[in-house]
Amino acid sequence: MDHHPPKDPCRPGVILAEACASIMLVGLVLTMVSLLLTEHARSTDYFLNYRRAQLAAESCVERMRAGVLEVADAAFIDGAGVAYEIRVADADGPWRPLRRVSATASIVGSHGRIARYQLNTYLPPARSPAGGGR
Amino acid sequence: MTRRRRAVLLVEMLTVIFMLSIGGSLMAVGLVSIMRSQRRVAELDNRYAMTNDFLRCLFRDVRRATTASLREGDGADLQQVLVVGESPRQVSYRFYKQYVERTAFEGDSQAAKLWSPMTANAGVTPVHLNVGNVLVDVTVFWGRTDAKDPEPNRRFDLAVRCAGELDHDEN
Repeated sequence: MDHHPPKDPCRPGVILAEACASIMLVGLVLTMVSLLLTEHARSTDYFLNYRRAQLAAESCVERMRAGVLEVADAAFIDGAGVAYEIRVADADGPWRPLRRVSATASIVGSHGRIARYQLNTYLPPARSPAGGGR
Repeated sequence: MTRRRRAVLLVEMLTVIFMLSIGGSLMAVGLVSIMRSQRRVAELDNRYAMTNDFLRCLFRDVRRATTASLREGDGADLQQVLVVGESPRQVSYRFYKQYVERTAFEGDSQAAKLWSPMTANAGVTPVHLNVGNVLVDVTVFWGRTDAKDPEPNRRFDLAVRCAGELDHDEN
C-alpha cells in the first residue's frame, strides 16, 4: 500500500488554471451578453421599420381621405420601398354611405424581418381623385 | 522522473496558454460587440426620438390649423418655409439643409425649437374636396449615422390634413 502525499491546493499551477478558467467563463458570459445586445439592436431596427410602416399606413389613409389617393383596391410600392396594399370592402354594411377600407404598409428589414402595419377605417366613397398613386 | 515532471509541466503550461488565449479572445470579442451594439442602439434610439418628436409636433400643429402654405427658401442654407395656421397662433417651420427650426407665435411671445441634425422635405397639396384646406406632406430623410446602421437610408413619411370638415354631399 503506497501512500501518495495529498496534493497541495495552493500549487501555482492550480491557481493559474483556476484563473484561466475564470477568464474563460467571463469571456463566455460577455459573448452571450453581446449576442443578446446584438439581438436588441436588431429589435431596435425592427421597431424603427415598424414605426415607418405605421406612419406610412396612416399617411396613406390620410391621402385617401383627402382625395389625393383613390379609394379602391390597390397594391403599390413607393419610392422609399414601402409596400402598400389597400382593400375596400364591397359589401354594404351598417356604416353606409362610408366604405370600410383596410390599408397595410410593409417594410422588409435588413435581416428579412417584415414590419407590417394594418389600419382599418371608414371613408367616403371615391370621388374624382386628383392622382392615382404616390 | 524529472523528465516526466517536465513533460507534465509543459502540458500544463500549454493548457494554460490555450485557455488564456481562448478566454481572452472571447472577452475581447464580447466587449467589442457589447460596445458596438450599445452605441448603435443608443444612437438609433436618440435619432428616432428626435424624428418622432418632430413628426408629432408637426402633426399637432397641422391638425390644429385651418390652413398651411409653403414657400421656397433663399436657395442657400434655407430650403423651405412651411407656415401653419393664421395669426395670432401661427407656427412656422424652417427647413434648413441640416436642421429644422420651429417658431411659434402666441400673441407677443415667441417660442423656438430646433431639431438637429435633420434633413426633411415638405410639400402641400390642396384638398379639392374642401376649398381652402390642404394636405401637408413631410418626409424626414434618415441619413447615415456614426454607428453601423443596417439600413442607413430610412425615410419617415407623414401626411396630415389641416383642420376642417369635409363636405359629405354624396348619397
